[in-house]
Amino acid sequence: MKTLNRILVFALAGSLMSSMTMAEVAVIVHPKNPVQSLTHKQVQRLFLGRSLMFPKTETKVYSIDQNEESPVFSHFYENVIQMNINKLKKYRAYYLFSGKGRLPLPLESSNEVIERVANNQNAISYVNINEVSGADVKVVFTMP
Amino acid sequence: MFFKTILSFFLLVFSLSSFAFGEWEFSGFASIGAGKLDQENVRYIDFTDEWSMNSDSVLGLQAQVELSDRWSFITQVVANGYDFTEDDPYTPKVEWFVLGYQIDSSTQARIGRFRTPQYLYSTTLEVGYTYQWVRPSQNAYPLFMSPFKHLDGIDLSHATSVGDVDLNYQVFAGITEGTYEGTMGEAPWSFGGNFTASWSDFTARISGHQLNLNIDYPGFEEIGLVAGYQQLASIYAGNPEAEAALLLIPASFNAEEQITNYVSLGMEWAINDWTLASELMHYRSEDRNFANDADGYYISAAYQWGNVSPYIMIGEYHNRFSDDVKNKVLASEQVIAQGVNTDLDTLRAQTIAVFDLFNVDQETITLGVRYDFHPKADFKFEVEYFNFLSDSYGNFYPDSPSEVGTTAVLTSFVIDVVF
Repeated sequence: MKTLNRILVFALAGSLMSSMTMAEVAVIVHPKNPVQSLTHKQVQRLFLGRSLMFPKTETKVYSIDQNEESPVFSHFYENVIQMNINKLKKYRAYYLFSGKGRLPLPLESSNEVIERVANNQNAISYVNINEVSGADVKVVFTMP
Repeated sequence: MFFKTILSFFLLVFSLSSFAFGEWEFSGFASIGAGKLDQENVRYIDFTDEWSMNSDSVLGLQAQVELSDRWSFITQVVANGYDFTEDDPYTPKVEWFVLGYQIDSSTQARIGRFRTPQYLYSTTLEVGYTYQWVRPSQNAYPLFMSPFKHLDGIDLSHATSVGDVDLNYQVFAGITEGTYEGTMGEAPWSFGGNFTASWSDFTARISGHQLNLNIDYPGFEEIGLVAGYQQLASIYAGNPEAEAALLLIPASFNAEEQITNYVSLGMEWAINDWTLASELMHYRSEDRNFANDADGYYISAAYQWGNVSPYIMIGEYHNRFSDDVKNKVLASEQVIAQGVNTDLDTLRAQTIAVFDLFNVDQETITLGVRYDFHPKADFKFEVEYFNFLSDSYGNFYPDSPSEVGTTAVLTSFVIDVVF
């Protein structure tokens, strides 16, 4: 019984932490990026490589991914981009080897992602919204 | 030997990883497969009744660089285990070598060598990881088009959206040449286009391609058909009408400036855990000399169950060779009647029999499973059943036609990796 309780407590805590961590995802760009906000559809098009420049600008897109093992990666692609990870892997391979362009650059941590976006005017990525505070980046889209 | 090869393959590909060197990005793909037919005395692609590994095995390396905000360059070198030519297995060949210019946020122009965008999966035909099956259906991706899998030319593509529907247009033009089972084909010019509409998890595509083809098949000389008619024509040198009728036949064994049109329709629909895919192809050429018309389709359904995905695919393929050569043989009988020259009668019968071999009708049913055992690798196993119709041998090459049955089964598996 004690063991069962522990499992339930851990499961509940894990679930709470997960929902807290994944409360809201923010799409971020460099502060000098001319884009002020993006629609859901535009975010999907940018991260799937269907648009290679930011909407209504001449600014080329340099997309950055979180680590594939991170919760924010799977949350972002399954909920924001709305493509399951199995399909995403096939899509990405198709995209890369059919000469359509480069894939998002994967970085190890949110800190690296924020630092890279803060230093590259073409960059776009995503982080948990509670990690943006104080960072030199601009939020252009959010989604629970 | 077989398991040693597989082990070496695993060690090789899992030790590789995409990487960047300065602005350059390097990546690649590989497949290692094996298959076996249940029939003796016959060949399909490079499969026989012994386990063989060349048909579905391939290694490809890609390098790409963004030269500026607008200019980019990509090259891809592919080494196939078997590519219908007489080159050694795994001879590296350049399949992509293209310079791209981004005109605006949704329009791109390219010049160089790129994959001919004829089908849903033609741009990644050799990247097995990108599709469900061991290989795309040969019913809709006809093998005889393999010499024209890339173009040297230009293309222009534009992407836009209307509401929630993404639209893509592409037009292209270029030259191409290649070899298929000893037949040499070249297109001094060709052009085409395609239109793709994607809405949610549904994609529909229509594609068209016109080629001006020159085709040469030295096999007719090798089996003595050409020399046979020339020798008999020399016997009838005093009869200009007979001589001309006989020489006209071997003169039809090739094609020059033949206009061919290729149209394909495709769709893919992901419904929850199901993925339905279908393509239909329609190929027509001018009805003269060495020419054929072909039609085919496949319908595929796959179910995603975690990392495992079983699938079924059905399809048909029909190929009709032009009656032009046959009509010239029959016309010669109006000038030199049957029974006058037994050698000529034999030669004419052989000619008609050889050209009849190109008339093909087949149905196929494929059952298989894909298992994504690694984030960048899959294993596929499938069994393909062929039902040959109209006394044909489908796309199979028989050693001796009389020894081939009316059905065949191909069992194959493949491991695909991207890196």
